[in-house]
Amino acid sequence: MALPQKKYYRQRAHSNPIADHCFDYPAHPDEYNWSNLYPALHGNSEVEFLDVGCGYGGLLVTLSPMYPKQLMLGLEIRVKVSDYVNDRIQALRVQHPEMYQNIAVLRTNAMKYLPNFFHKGQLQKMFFLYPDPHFKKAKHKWRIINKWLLSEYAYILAEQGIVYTITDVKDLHEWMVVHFEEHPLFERLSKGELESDPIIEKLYESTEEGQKVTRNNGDKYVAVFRRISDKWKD
Amino acid sequence: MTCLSASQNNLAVARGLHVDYYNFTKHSYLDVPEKLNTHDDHICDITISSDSSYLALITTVSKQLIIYNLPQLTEYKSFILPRSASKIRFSPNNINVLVADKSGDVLIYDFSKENSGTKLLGHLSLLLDVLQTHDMKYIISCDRDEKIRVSCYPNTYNIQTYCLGHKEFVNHIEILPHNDKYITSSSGDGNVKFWDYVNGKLCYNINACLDVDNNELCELFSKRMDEEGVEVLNLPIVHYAVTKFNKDSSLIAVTIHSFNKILIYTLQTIDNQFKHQKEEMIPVQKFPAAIMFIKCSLILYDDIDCIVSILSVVNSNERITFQMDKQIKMFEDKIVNFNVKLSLDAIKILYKRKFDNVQEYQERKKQRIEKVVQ
Repeated sequence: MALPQKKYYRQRAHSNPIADHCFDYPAHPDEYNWSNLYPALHGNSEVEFLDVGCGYGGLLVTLSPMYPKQLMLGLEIRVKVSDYVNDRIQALRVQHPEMYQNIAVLRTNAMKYLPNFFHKGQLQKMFFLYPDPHFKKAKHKWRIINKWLLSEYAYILAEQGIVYTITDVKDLHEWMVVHFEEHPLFERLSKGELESDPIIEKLYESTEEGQKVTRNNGDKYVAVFRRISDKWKD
Repeated sequence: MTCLSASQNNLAVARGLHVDYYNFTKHSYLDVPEKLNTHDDHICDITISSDSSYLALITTVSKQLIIYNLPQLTEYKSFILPRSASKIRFSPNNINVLVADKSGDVLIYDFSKENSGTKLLGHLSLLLDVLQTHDMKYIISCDRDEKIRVSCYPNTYNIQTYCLGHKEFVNHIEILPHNDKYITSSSGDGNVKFWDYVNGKLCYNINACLDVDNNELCELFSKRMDEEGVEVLNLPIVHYAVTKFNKDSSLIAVTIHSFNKILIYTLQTIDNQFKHQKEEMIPVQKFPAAIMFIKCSLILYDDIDCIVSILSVVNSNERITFQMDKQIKMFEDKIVNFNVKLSLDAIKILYKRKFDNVQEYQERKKQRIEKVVQ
C-alpha cells in the first residue's frame, strides 16, 4: 500500500470555524467508539495527546514511535486534508506492521466539539502548530487561541498537562503568549524547562508547514504552557 | 422568547414594546422607549425578581436592557447590550442580571452601577438560557449545540463540567425546585433531563414526546422540517416550567410543539432515586405563548386573545389535577399593534441544516482511484 500523494488532497488553508458544518460527534464522550480509529488497541486506553489542526499529520507520525504507549489524535477541519492524514496512517500501518497503531485523525471542529469527545482532565498534551493566523482584525474571533477557548482547553487538559504552540507569524505568537499568560489556569514554561523536553525540537521540522517556513527562511516562534490548578479562593 | 413573568402577587405580560403589569387589583402599562424607527423591535424576555422589587426586560432590535422598580414601575437603570440577547435572569440575591446572548456570551450587569456589563464566559453557539445556583457558586448556561455548561463563579474561566446527553438544542434549564443539588433541562429532542450539575452526571430522563397521543403531529412536523433541510425525529419541547410540590417532589409542566395539551408530571427524589409520574394532560384551546408556575398554580398565556389563565392544583386521592381558577384579560385598555409570530418560525432556526460535503468528496476520490486502476 503506497503512501497517499499530497497533490490529490490540497485544499485552501482557511476554514470558517463558526459555521454549521456537517460533523458527526457523540452527545457524550462515553458514547464514542474509539476502536474504529485505533483498531489494534484493546483495553481502556484513552487519547492523551491532541494535535489541534494537525494539517498533513507530520507531528503525529513523528511522535508515534517516540510515545508508543500513548494514544494520539489529530483534529483537522478540512475534508481533503483530514482524509490525506487518514490514508497516510492506514498506509503506514500496512507498511510497518505493529507501528502507527497509536495515531489517528478525526475531522471535527475543535472550537465547538472538544467536550463531546474528551472527559474533563483527560489530555496530557495539546499541540497548536502553525495555526491559521486570521490576520484581519474582524477574523480574530476565528483564531484557535482566545481567552474563552482557553477555558475549554483547560477543561480537557489534566493539571500539569502541557500545551505546545509554534508559529511563523510574530503577531500571532505574541497574541497566543498574552492570552495564555493572562489565563489563570496556564503558566508559561521557562527556557530551561524546554531544554529537557524531547518534543520541542520536533515542533520545528516535523510538520509540512514547518518545513515550508524553513524553505522560505521564515522565523519560528515557540511558546509552551502548563495547565495549573485554580488558585481561586472564596 | 418569554413574554410572561410573575411572582406571588403580581404578573407582567409583554407585547411588542409594551408591558401590562397586573397586581391582581389593577393593570398598569409600561411603554419601552422606541429607539429605532422599526416595527420589528419588541420585548423578547421579561422577568420579575424573586423578591418582587424589580422588573427587567430586553428588546430584540434596539438591544435594550431596562430594569424597573416595582411596584412603582419607574425606570431604574437602562443599558444597551453589545449583542442581541435571548434570555435574562436575576441572580439569586437580586443585585445582578445575567444576560445570555445570541453570539454565545453570558454577561453580568450589576444594576446598582452606571457602566456595568461584563462578559463572564462564551460558548460558540447561540445561548438559550442561563442561571446562577442558589449558593452563587456556579453559572449554568445552555445552547443550540445540545450543551449545558457549568462554570465556576466568580472564577468563570474555570469550567466545572458539562452536562451532555441532549441530542438537540437545550432551550430551558432550571434548578430542581425541591432539591437544589440538581438541575433540570428541556430540549428540542423531546426529552426532559435531570442532572447532578457539580459532576455533570445525568440522573434521570423523561421522554415527554412519548406522551403525545397523536402520532400525526410528529409526522407533520418532520415533513415541514424536511422541507427546510432538517431531519427531525421527535417533536421539540417548547415551554417548560417547574415548581416545588413537597419536600420530595416537584411539579413539572411541559408543552410540546403543536400539541394542544399541557403535560403535567411529578418528579420525586428519595435518597437520590428518581421517579416520575404523569399526572395530567390539560387540554388547551390555543397553544400557549408562555407557561409558568407561581407556587402550585399554573399560569398560561394566550397571546392571540391576550388572556392569562390561572389554574390551581387539586390534590385528591393521590392524583394531581388542575382546575381553572381565573382568567385575566390583558391589554384590555390599551391597543397594541403587534403581529404575533408563529412558534414554528421561532423554533425552526434552532435546528441545524445538514449539508454534507464529505460524501461528494469521497465519490470524486473513488472515481479518481478507479481511473488509476483502469
